[in-house]
Amino acid sequence: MTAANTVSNVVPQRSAFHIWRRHPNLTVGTAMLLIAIFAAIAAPWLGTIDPQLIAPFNRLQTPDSQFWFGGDLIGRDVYSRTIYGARVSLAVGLGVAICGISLGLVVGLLSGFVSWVDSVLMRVMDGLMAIPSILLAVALISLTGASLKNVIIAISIAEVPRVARLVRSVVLSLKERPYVEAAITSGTPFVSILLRHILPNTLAPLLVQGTYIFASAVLIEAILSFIGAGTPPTTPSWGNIIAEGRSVFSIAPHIVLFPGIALSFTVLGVNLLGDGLRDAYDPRFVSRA
Amino acid sequence: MSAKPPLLQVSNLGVTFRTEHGTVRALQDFSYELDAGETLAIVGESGSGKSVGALALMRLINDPPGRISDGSILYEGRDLLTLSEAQMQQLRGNDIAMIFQEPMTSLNPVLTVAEQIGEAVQLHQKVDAAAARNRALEMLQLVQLSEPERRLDQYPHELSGGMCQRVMIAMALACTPTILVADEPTTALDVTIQAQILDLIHDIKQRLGTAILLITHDLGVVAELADRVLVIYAGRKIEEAPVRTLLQSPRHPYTLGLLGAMPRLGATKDSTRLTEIPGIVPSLLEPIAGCAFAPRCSFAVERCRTEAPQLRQQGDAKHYAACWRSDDLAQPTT
Repeated sequence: MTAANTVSNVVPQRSAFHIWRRHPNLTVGTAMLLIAIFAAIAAPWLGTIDPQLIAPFNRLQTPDSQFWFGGDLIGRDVYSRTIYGARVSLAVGLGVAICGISLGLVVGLLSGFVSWVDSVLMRVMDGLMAIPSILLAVALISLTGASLKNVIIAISIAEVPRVARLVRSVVLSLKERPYVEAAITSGTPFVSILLRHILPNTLAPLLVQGTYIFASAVLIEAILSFIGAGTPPTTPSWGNIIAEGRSVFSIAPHIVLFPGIALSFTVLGVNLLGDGLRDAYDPRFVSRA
Repeated sequence: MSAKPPLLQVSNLGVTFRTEHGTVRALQDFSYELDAGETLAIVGESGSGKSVGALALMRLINDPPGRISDGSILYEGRDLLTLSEAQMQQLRGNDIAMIFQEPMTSLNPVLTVAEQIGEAVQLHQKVDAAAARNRALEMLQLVQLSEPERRLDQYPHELSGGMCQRVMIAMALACTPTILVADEPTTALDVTIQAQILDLIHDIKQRLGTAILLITHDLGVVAELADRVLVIYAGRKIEEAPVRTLLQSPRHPYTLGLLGAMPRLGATKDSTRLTEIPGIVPSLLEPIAGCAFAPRCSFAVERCRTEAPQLRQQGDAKHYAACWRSDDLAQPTT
């Protein structure tokens, strides 16, 4: 949905159709992401029951016609938990993509345009980048306490340096473009140049980067939940479910299997979407893989 | 000719750039005047400092590494070099506008034609978006772009190079500036389009009375558009004259060389061979003793290598040249 809208904004109408035909990655990725989004939004109507409902009778129930994905350690319905888990994952993915990009955009624009800011901000970014993002997120969450909001903030901070570097490099090349000089010669003030002439031209690579951040945020959230530093255990998230199923993996592998498939499916979809967008917009743009 | 002071008076302008290898004197002791409605061409080869002169006029020399080291730029009695950056912003686009060499890359790919032209109008004339759009349409009609209503909502990539240059000109003229700086306005266009754009600039000059500072290396363009010509070499003005005088009786060997290197219509392979100027523009890192052109000059004598010639008035009242042997050039042997 979001992806389709953005495509028609940036690329003129008549070529939109060709892009879908010529870039199967884009089509498949978008479809996969749409399925995940649909599951998250429509969770209550997809034959689910209360994901928190404990039914001791169904402990370690193997998948059957009633419990499609089986039951977990204390008899909760794995299918319902997996479907509801999509809400957490997608919320984190989207939240991190938006927060990370907004913050990184501001940092990157300023660094690219004002040289004294550049030396200060980019050193801070280098420092942040030196810390592995999961460790950084764990540290930030242990400082603030586990909640969905804090998870989003923690992962966002870890992602900011990547966005900032990307935006900065784009700005550095854009500000030498003749149309920016032309804008300066027609007396355009600094802020308008930044917002009107530089910013819109950074959006295409940022959109691509945004999908990778989305995918990596979904994974990091799952990892954080898996090691118990992420989403609180009361909220079903794919990381939580896998963590809980880990101890009984040898006798009830389905508990780990289904949320694992859901996680792979979503991350793969988002990555395909990102690759498709990258190929469609700028074949030369080399992303971090 | 009148007692009125000129619109623009640039005096003894000097621009330097600090580089890793030392200080480059890109422009030295550079002076010229521009009257309202007049077209002055600044001619020189690559690296001669002609574009630096234009950028200095707009105060767009990046500092660092560049610096306007001395001189003054009087525009309507105000010295542009003493204005604040905010005052300069008021002036750019509104009083002095500029068109560039590369029309295709000088337009922002994400803004429509109407938005690009309207931007400066909204900025300087404090009007709303609808009025700016109307003004944009008016300007597109002025620059004779086909189907102006449709062009308003098109993006630069939907236009050809010639159309982009028309849009650039429309943008530059939207606030009716008194001076239009045209930095090689036709270099990137093919020949038929060049002719159209030159006609357009000529036409607009007649209609709006805009003074034009034309920066070029193309003497064909100069002959077409300019009233007066100023030849620049190694950051210094070496000759200045009304266009006809300069083309017919140049008094500096460099100008003579430029003219000799220009192909003429009707010339055959056997009748005329184009003459080239040997060598390259000297490095501006070290101060040059004597005339900067001497090493490449076939007229050079011993004095040229030791003593720098000053600009001297030549036969014609408004003809100046900086050459020891300009009088010998007056009786052309070639």
